[in-house]
Amino acid sequence: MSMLEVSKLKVSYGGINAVKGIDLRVDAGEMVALIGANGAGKTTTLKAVSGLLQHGGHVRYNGEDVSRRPAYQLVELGIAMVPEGRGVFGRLTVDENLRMGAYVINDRGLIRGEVDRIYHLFPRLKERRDQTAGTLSGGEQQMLAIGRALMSQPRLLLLDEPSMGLAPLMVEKIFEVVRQISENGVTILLVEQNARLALAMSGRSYVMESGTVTLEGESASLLDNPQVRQAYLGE
Amino acid sequence: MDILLQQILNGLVLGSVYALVALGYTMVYGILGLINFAHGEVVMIGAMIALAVMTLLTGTMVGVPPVVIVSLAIAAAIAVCMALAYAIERVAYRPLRNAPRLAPLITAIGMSILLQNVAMVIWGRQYKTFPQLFSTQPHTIAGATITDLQIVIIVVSAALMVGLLALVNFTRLGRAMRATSENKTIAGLMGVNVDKIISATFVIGAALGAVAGVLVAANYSIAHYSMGFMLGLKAFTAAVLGGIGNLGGAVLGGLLLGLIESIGAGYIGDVTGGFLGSHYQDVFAFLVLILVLVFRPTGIMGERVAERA
Ligand SMILES: Nc1ncnc2c1ncn2[C@@H]1O[C@H](COP(=O)(O)OP(=O)(O)OP(=O)(O)O)[C@@H](O)[C@H]1O
Ligand SMILES: [Mg+2]
Repeated sequence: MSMLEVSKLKVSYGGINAVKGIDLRVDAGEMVALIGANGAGKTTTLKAVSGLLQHGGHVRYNGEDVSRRPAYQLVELGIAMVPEGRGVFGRLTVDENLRMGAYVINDRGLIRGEVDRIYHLFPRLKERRDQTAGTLSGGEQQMLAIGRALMSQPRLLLLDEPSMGLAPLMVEKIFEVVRQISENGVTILLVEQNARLALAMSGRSYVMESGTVTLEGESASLLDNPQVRQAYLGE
Repeated sequence: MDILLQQILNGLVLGSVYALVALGYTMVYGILGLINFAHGEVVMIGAMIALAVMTLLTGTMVGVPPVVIVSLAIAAAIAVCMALAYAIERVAYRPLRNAPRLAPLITAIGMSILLQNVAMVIWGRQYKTFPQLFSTQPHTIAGATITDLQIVIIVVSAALMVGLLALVNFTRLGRAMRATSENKTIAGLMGVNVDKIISATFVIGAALGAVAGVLVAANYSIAHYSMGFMLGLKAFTAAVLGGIGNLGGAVLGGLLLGLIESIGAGYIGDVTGGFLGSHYQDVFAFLVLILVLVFRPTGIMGERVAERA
């Protein structure tokens, strides 16, 4: 049984069909990438999985159909999302943002320990713990968004374009942390436009094009796929 | 000079009540972008419930100390107002959460009229005498006088405001309220049940409003089904003056408005050579509202919104 099993997922905005019945699965412990061009439907897929969008088809999490559950209930089940554009609370401090991430955790000691762990992972955030998140740089906000998602102790982490708008050095740093998170046993579904990076990081990948999955397989073999090379790796 | 000090004291008393009510407007606005015009009526119902409970208990429980009766009356007012505000949000506003902005605004005005009429049916049209809760024996400070009741109004209001600010700034619920007011979708991704937070916001604002209703009725010794209208409008003005959506702004705006009204009323007779008397007091609030909306729609402490108002 897969940890996440998406079947015949359909999402439309008004009359526009953004996702047209896709299937995908993520097994426990895997890092799976979802790549594709602008407007392919990647974000829409993640939003549907995380309970932010109503959809057709089914989303199963550890065997349970969670299709009709709102986002806030999925957090308690162990699904966390780092949204596209980071979505930090700009008027809350860094510390408060992290504590919001632990909203579903009741154990105060655990929360304190996790905050320390995130600050250890991202020392920059620690320096800025009492600053409002709106004053952080884009890279710092991305660190905060990831740290905040980790605060809920997720078993499945949905990452939407963590590299977006970041300088190469910051991208490297962020992906180093993503790799660490994965090695710690967190299952990851990674949406990326940076196909080369995503394919290098992940075990398996799906390629989306205008609302459908057009290719899927081992990331290593997709890296060698001429179609992929031409369309997504710019060769 | 005695007049000035006296008017400042009166202004602080009045302003404390405005501030308490203004907090209810500003909290709801902060989280929903909605001006809850029914809030003034919730305040009125707080006063009416307290009055009804006091009348009932004084009649039936002879020999019970007045403090107990007053406490029970205030507790009942708070409980009823909280339940009422919860129901209003649930029934009137929640179904319109994603509707165009005009719809909930019109609903709010309708709710305000509905509640006034219901109160009129239950309690009648006549002005009701609100019992004296404290001795009206005045204390004299530097030539100005202040009664026990006025001291209580200032102290209770201040305590409630400090409590609210602490709740919003330092508790898990308060953090969730601020996060929700900033971005409901992302708050949901953190595991926040946004509907519950919105309910909590309404309910907390109503509790403050209930106390304000009792205080203001006690201050004027009168309760009336329409008392929430003018009070609500003034508190709304105070919230706009301070910067709607901003809690500190509501407190500041309330106190300022109270002072402006009171000092204005104290001197308007002299300034106009007796042409306008102190009963023109209400003019000041609306003058302030118009001036703020024209010259600084974000209010004193507001840096955002405005275009949404
Ligand atoms: N709120 C919305 N209302 C209407 N259409 C939308 C909305 N959000 C997305 N769409 C449309 O749905 C399609 C898929 O969008 P989506 O954001 O899922 O793409 P994406 O793969 O994440 O793209 P990107 O790489 O640019 O983030 C696009 O055609 C987009 O215009
Ligand atoms: Mg996207």
